[in-house]
Amino acid sequence: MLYRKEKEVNELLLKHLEKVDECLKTSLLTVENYLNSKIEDAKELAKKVDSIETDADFIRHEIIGKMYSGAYLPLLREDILHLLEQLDKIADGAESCCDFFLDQRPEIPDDLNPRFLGAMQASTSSFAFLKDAVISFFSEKDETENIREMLKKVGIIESGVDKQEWDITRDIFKTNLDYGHKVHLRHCIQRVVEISDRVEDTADQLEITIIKGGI
Amino acid sequence: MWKIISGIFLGWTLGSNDSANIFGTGVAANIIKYKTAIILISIFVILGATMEGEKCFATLDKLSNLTSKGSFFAALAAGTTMFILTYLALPCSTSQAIVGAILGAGIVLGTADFSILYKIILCWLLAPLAAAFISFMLYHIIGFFFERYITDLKKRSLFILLGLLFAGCFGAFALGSNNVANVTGTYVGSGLLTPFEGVLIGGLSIASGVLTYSKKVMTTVGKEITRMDEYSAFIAELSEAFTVEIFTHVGVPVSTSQAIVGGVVGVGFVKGVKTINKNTVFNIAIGWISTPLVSGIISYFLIKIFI
Repeated sequence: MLYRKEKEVNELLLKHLEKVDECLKTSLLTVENYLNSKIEDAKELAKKVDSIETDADFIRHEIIGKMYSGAYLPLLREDILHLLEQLDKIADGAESCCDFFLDQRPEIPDDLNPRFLGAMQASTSSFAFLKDAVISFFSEKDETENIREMLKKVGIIESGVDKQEWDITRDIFKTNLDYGHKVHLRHCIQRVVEISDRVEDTADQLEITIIKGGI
Repeated sequence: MWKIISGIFLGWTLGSNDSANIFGTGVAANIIKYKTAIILISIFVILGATMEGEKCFATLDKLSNLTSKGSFFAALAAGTTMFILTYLALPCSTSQAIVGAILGAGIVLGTADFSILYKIILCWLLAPLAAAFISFMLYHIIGFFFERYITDLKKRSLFILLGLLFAGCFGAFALGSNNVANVTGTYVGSGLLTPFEGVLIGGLSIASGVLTYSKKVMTTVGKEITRMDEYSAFIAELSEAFTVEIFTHVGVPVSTSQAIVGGVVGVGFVKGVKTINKNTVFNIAIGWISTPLVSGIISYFLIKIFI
């Protein structure tokens, strides 16, 4: 029964990680359908995103309960819980992005449509590296260097997404759309890139946990 | 036998104050339950006292030949000093209080022998320095194996938990073996108690302090130490235990509070961070002078008045 609590926590953490991944993939499909004017499909997918996010939240609460029943040492416990909180914010970000599209129905000009989709794809793609890094962190092998490499990649992707956001924003304000429409599109792209910002914040938290866990 | 009451009182204050140096970190950080900690400390204090406690009797005995009444007042003076200085929030150590008290009594009775004092003072000075050195070395040695062979988070947590438990039990054993002479050494020297009775009563009185009145000090002092990470806390506690045990074999009772400060400083050297401020070092230096001096003066006047 050695490490029973820790093993249970690890299993739940991986389950939570899968839910966040599923949430991001579904939110990408949601935005893709919206941009292709398949609003009804997008609505269904957005409901699915909402439900996956709720599942992830339930798992997070289960993990918190298990952690405070004595899994891991207090300082590491705090860091893991902070990491979990950050992971949950990624799913929240994906959910809020889908809600923005379907509640506010932004009108994306045709020439900007593929670029919004490209930004959404890039913003959600950084999570794959974070996911691998988190799995490696909880594995039994010492993969510190590999994890650091993966976290660097998250940072590189996030910088690329920031560049895309900057370019799209500039081009939005170059159009002849009315000012209100421009601001609305600006808010929309901010929601899209917010996902990769949150992925990067989580990567930073993981890096801090690794450094603090070392001697 | 009523004369040993002051010794039991001294042992009680020792147990209630010094248990914080042993399991304070683990309890304050909720790694170890308070009840588990005090039970473990009590068991290992009694074991340490009965197995090795006699080693420090000779040193205190050489300071002065006290009568049973003299022993009573010396222990009373040391206990009162501890009580007053703790109340005034000034640093104090039982080891330093009892030495001052024995010499104060010895001066009045004309039996004080200062020849062994240099060895005792040297040990007091060396204890925190040795703890800092041991801590510095242990941090690197254990850390090397820890980083190399314990890579899994689960195993790391278990290792540190077991390490803290081991360091705590070892620290309690060292406290019993080193400090029991402070409690009943004067009675054994005066012939009121046999050495075995001395270590047993001394060990039990320290354990009574641990079991009845240690929670407040343990949680407050523990929180000061837990600002460090758990590995560093484990190393600091282990080095304190090693240091105190080494001085048991030298035959001189030392301060566990000063040893733990040394252990914390040693970890600070490794990490290149300042773990202790100037005030703490100043307080230790003040304690080296004020505790035996206050205790000596109280003992001097008690003996003058009542004997």
